[in-house]
Amino acid sequence: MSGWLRKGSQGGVIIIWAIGVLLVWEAAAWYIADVAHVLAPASKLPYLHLVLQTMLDHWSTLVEQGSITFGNSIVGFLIGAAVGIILAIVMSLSRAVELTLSPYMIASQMVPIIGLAPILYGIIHDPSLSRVLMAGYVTFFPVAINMLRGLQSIKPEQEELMRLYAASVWTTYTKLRLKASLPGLFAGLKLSAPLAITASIIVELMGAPDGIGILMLSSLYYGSSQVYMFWSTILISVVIGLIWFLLVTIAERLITPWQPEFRPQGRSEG
Amino acid sequence: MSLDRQKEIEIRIDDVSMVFGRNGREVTALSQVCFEVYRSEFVSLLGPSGCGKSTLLRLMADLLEPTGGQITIGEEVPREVRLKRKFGIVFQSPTLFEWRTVQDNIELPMEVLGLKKSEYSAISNQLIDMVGLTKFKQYYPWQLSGGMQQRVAIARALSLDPPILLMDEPFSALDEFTKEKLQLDLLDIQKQTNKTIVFVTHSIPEAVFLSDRIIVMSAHPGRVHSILDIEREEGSYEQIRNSDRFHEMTARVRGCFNAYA
Ligand SMILES: Nc1ncnc2c1ncn2[C@@H]1O[C@H](COP(=O)(O)OP(=O)(O)OP(=O)(O)O)[C@@H](O)[C@H]1O
Ligand SMILES: [Mg+2]
Repeated sequence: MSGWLRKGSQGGVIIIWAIGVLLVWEAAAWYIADVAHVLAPASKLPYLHLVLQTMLDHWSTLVEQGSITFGNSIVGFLIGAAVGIILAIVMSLSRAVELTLSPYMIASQMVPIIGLAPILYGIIHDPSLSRVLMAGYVTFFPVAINMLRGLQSIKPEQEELMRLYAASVWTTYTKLRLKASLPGLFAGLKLSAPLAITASIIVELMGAPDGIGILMLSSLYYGSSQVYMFWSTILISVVIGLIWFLLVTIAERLITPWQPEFRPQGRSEG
Repeated sequence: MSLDRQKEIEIRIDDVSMVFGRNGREVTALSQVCFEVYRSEFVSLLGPSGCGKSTLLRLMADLLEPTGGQITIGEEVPREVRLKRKFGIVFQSPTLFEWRTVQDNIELPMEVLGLKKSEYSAISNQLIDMVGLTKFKQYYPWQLSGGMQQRVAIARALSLDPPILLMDEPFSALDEFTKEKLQLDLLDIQKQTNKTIVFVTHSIPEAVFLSDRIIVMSAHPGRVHSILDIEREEGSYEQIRNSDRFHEMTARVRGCFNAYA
């Protein structure tokens, strides 16, 4: 019963927080434009309501281009997550494999994606595939590393317990190691969810012919008249990133309900 | 007690040594340890920290292999006994699975064995009642106090009704009342099911109250210092605890410690 109250108050906090951000945005835009009299104020920070107006006006273009970008980045994210999970499992099974693979994995993350994106696009020349690959590329590493840490986090006594009960290797892996790795897996997924979207957009900034990144670029080139379009694309990217992050968080709550972060405060009954 | 009737040897520890590590950085945890545990006997291991009590339990359960000597259980080596799931163990720390509720933790051994939920939920419910966690069935380990977690571990160790129970300081994190209740429960269980129990403790009164025999160990390296027969008395908890015999026995055990301290 009190759970409803608590959830209600949580939702309230989010709404107040969102309203606060909107007010601060409008106030700042007003200050820049009408108090400080900055040159070309809209390119610094435009009024939010004008940005929203532009979004409504160009709704179909934004949806069309946005779905290309975000569709690709989500596919890439899922593929990258799958690769990360498989890598973590393989590395957890063999110390030799772990030692062999980790230098390559770490080196792979040293290549700046700004540099990698145009190279990749130059080679495969397929914008969708490039977006998918880049999203996967930035996803697999945090997922693999965090999940591997989870797989290795079990206490020796927990393993001894499974041994005492003559559990098979498979049972020990599924009932112990994989379970212990789930919090790490979700930590990795939450890290890489926003990264995957950024990576796809970077492919577009670096050469692909379509997508939300192209809208971003062209509205930048066409100067102050397009400034609201530019901010619309930014806003959409942020919102999509947040939604995706939220979905991962919800999945985490459903799949790993035991985590203390989900502890309801001041519980009274089970 | 009834032991004299049939002193069948259940666990034989024969000249067992355990050396950890290698290349000069060796630790001798146990050195030439010999003793026997009879069937349905309650034996306590008592000794200073680091004398190898936990190691000894792990050796019996085939979680470690001795570097010297051998262990026989009945007619078999520990591995065969372990594969038949005849051990129940309570580790020094509760060792629960964080993602499992109290009930699911207690059911783990039965689940691993491949039993069906319908077959074992009655057993786990009964064990939960016994350790006094009925209201906490669906709680996760982090929602429990240390003592409650340890009670879950005790219930889990009993879940397959194993003939041999190995318990590493199971009651040391409990309050006096719970401790007393579980001590009496444990003795009841033993009486009813004739379990062989090897019990590690730091408490001399606890060892005297529960045991048929106490094995006093000394450290560096871990050895058997002396073995004491305890004549258990009939009577209520209070009666036994306050009897002259009880005080006499605890004084004798304490004397063993002073002899080498
Ligand atoms: N896995 C291990 N690797 C190396 N040394 C170990 C290992 N396990 C135990 N030891 C060493 O063996 C000795 C005995 O340890 P053990 O845990 O059996 O003692 P204990 O009697 O249970 O002590 P306590 O009462 O503190 O629990 C200690 O010196 C310890 O350092
Ligand atoms: Mg110990």
